[in-house]
Amino acid sequence: MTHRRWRPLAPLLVALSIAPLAAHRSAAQQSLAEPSNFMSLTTFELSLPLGDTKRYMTGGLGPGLGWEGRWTVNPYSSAGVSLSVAGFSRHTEHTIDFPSGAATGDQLRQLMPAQLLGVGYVYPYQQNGVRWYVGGGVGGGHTDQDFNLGTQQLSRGAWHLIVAPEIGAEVRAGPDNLFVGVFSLRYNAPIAAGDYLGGGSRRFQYLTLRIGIGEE
Amino acid sequence: MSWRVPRRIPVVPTALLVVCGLVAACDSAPLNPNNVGWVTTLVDSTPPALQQARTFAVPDTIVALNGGTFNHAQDKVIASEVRGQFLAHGWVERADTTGPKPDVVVVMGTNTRTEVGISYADWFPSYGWIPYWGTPADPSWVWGAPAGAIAYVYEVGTLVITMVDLRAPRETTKRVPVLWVAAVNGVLGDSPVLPRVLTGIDQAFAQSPYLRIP
Repeated sequence: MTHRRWRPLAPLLVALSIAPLAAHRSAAQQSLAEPSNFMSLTTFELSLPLGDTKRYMTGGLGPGLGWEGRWTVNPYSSAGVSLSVAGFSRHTEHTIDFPSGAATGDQLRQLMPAQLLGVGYVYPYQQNGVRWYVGGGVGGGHTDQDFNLGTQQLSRGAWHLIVAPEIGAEVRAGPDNLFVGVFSLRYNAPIAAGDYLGGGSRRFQYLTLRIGIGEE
Repeated sequence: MSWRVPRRIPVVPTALLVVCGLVAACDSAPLNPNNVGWVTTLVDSTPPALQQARTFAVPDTIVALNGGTFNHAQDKVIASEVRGQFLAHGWVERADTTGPKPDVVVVMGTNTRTEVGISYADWFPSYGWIPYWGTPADPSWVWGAPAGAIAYVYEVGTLVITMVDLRAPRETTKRVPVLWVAAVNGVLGDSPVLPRVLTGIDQAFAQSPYLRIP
């Protein structure tokens, strides 16, 4: 992982997670009995690389983290914002040929997409405390690409327009169904952009399993 | 007695724990002492000069570059490996400095400080003494790097093997005509680990198929 970039991002995500919770908690404490129309979710994510993203993972899943705020629009829909980061990395040791030479040795390829989406969901089906939903998000994101050649690091990055359809379920528990667990699958489909290492624009798609915990 | 879920506990601490866990899991440093054994090769983009070369010479001394010092105990073994690789690739050795000159001379040096890009500074105090130049040379001469050379970070102890074209008209250009460079990153310390050095040399030739004489 791009640990040097995770370090500043992790506290930011924690802060983003805590701030809405804290704000919401004080409001909830004032009126425990009243239903809230806002849900704050911290999501822990595992991403399966697709397409050109596969070059940045040797099997397995890339970890990620996010925060999402959902406002209830009506009993059958919600809307909100979603912030997330993911990471993919791959170690190899082989020879790379260049027009004027070659290099052999330890190589580390890393990809770190971060995205901010406006999201919307509809809830067509509910049973036994589980609300199923479909929807997704549209927004923008920045993808960092790093390529370490031994002790040398080459980096590129680009902004992408992102479309991200999603299906999932909300499970409620606790007093007044205050706590919410969310399980979902999101297909992150950025529009090709940038001039990445290796030449030209890239999409860097991936499929994300999101596990969220939060409260209303 | 009813059990109640405490309201303030689960989300934030859990988030913090998982974030810390994720950051710790991701903190796998890409660099370790075993990763610096990099082998890079650079070749001049003018193929005829390299394709037509057939004879070579390899001085037995590895030069300490950048004005530093270096333990020369393994020089002959390393030079022998380089010499053996050229012979295995079909080249003919001309070690005699008094007879016909070889087409190329292969000089070896080692960084005594970290360099970005191959060290091409101060060629004269490093290699100006070798008897193959045949023409007056002085400190005003400069290295001619292979066209399109890519800069890397080379650690202290990098073995730099440089093939110099002795047929090029260097008197007028005052440029040392470099045809091929191999760098085995960070393998020559105070106590060179010889297997790593020799493996690196072999890899340099393996990834340079254009050196093979048909």
